[in-house]
Amino acid sequence: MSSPVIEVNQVTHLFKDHRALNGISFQVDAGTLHGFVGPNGAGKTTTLKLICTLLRPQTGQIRVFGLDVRSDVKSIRQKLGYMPDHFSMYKQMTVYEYLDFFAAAYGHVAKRRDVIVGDVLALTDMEGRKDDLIQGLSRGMQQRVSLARVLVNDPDLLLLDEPASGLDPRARIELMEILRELRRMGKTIFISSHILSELAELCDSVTIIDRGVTKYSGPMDDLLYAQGDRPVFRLRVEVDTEQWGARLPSLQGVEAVEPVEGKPEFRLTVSSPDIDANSMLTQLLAMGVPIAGFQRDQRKLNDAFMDLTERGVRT
Amino acid sequence: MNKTFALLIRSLRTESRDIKIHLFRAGLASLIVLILYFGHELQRQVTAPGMILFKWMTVANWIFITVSGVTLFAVSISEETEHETLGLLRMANIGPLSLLLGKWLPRMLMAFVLVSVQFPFTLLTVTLGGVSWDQIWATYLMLLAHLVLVGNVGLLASVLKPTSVQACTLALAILLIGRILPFLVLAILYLGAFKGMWGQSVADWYYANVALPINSCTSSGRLFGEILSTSFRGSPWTNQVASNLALGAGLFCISWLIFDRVTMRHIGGSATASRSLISRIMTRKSRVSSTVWDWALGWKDFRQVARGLKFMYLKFGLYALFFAVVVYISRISGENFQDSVRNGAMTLMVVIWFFLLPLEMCLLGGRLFRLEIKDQTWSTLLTLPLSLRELVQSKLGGAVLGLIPTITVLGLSLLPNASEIARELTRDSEGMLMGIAYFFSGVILAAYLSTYFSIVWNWAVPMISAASGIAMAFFGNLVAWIVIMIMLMGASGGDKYLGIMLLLMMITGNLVVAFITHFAIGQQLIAKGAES
Repeated sequence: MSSPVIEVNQVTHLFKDHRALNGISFQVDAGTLHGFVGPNGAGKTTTLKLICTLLRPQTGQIRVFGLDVRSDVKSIRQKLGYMPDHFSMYKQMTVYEYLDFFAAAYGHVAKRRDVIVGDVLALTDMEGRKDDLIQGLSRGMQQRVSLARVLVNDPDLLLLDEPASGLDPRARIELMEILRELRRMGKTIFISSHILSELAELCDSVTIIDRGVTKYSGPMDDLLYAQGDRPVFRLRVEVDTEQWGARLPSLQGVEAVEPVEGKPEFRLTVSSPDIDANSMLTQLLAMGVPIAGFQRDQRKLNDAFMDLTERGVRT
Repeated sequence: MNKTFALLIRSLRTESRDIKIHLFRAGLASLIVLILYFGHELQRQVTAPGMILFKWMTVANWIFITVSGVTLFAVSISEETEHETLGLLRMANIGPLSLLLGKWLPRMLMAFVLVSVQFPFTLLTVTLGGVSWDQIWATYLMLLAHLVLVGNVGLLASVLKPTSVQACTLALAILLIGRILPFLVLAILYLGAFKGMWGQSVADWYYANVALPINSCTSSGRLFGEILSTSFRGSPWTNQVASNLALGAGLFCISWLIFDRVTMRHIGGSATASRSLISRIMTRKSRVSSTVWDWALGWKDFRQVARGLKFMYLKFGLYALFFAVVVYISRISGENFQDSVRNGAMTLMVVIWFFLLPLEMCLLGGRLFRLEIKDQTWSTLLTLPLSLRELVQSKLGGAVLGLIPTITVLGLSLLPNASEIARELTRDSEGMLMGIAYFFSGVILAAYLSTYFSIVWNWAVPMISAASGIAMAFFGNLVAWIVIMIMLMGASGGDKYLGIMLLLMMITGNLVVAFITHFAIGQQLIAKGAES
């Protein structure tokens, strides 16, 4: 079990008479990609600002790398990179100047900065645009520069608030690729997002909050079982949908087979959490099913989210 | 007509929730209450204080109307462009005339009501003595015409420019140019006549037939030169009233005629994307990146707040040009070269010390955090491993580099007159030094207030924050002096150090308020970091 990088314990935060957070608690382990999900106004951005020391907790405790966010502000800031949910950029600067500026602000000398900026430009695939003015870049490109800015200090923890918001599909996919690469490099990434399908695919663990209260926090896989559900797989066949629809219930451990309307697809609900994708796929191949696609059904994260969070406008 | 009413009601509703409108009202109301208090106090000391009271009220109203033209009216259409609601209003089939009337009328109503509610207090001035009914009618009609003119200048600027900042700047520029240009032309004509390029009769003719009539058509010219004189007995219907109303109506028609053509361009691109011609020429898509100093925040704010090296050279160039012009005028006026240089240096010193240095300090204060807050970069800077004090000190250091040309030229301008200045200082060293310290304490207070306003007023451009800071520091000091004078009125005799003691009190007062503002700025900066 890796040590927690972020520990949030019974944190409550009020803005005048509005209770933004109401005793939330969760923790994020080192080297993981942790999703942070909640409806609008749930308190996600407030939590992120508390973790990155922009706000001071009123009650409860937040520790980052074991340091208290109230008393160890500078040490914490040295170790984390925060990307807000808006473009926070000096648009009259070139990409290189912008990154060089932040590297210098973190105290790196000129020679070292040149290497650092070169590295982050390579990582975010922005080398060819380094002399472009930021104001002329597309939204996706600006988001990459924002991410590059977060990385100039080589932080161990990245806090990303809605990094994929407003991006086109290509830019979103490229951003997710960069995040995967960063996880491979050992960074801990705490990402707030509304795009559940991508989070489900990307994240090792997740915290769901609603109206300032933690609804779930733990491994992504466990989220499904925490709701009393069993794993569901989605199977797409190449031909003869009807025939396979009749034969699939005979597979060992399959409890229900549900055809997807208008598509050559089935949703297979299995009877035990022990039946994983590998064993199911082995059975399907043995049966001779002409498999066109097979995956764990991601729809469940949406369902879990809907089940855990309340409908309606917060009052 | 229904559409105009719908907009009118919407504007009145929105503005009832708008803090800046309430601030305007509160500001004017406080000023009037203060003036009434002083009038009451003066009654004990002066036989007919009505005229003094009336002058103060009129000047306060005139300033209020002028400022509202540059701010409230100038954002009427541009705020819709900025909020990207102008296109939606046009899609709802609201025509240009309905839109203009719907945005212009509520502001006009607000200003008109604010000025009108003071009418009973104005009647008080007649009772107190020294003011005639003719003066009151003439003043209110003059103010109304002035309101129509500046309101329409603001409206036109608001149609022409897509952002509030640009619109406020344009409205201010139009009003300033309109006031200064006739006299600039006059100065050139007299200079040319002096050089023999044309006869003096040309300049005299221009003065008598153009400059003077224009001056009498301006509210300020008429207000200070005519209405507020004790012997005024003129008619309320004057050229100023007619010309201001006609020009106001003309500007409204121009706004109406160009509305579609100009605003469609703004709606097509986002408000911020629509840039001026100079900005488009100056802006490139890419350029060679410059090397950041190890002192990163200083580097950034030297470029961003102080506008960098090129602007520094430009300022040196402009000071040199100003100096050369004054020396040249002195020379052609018959002074020898040495005296001309001394005149040039003295003029430069006075202009910098009393005007440019305070203005530049307040503008730097107004820009220091405004740009960060507007571009939402402040929260990112706050996540750097620096304390707030370190962050602000670094930023301030970079911005203050922009004062190098002004301070250098100020230092240089002292040299030719060094012996004279030294003589003055030794003659009354305590008084002089105290006076200098007092003036500078006022400038520091104004700079602090400008900085504070630029942080708390989301809508304020640096020029408005700076102007408000200067105005508040000036009026604050004025009020303090008046209170002191009233308290001292009737006191017999006086210690020879009384003046110095009073200056010391005022310096302390300025610095205490600056100190309090310093902490308020700190609190606001932390709050803004968490907000964005």
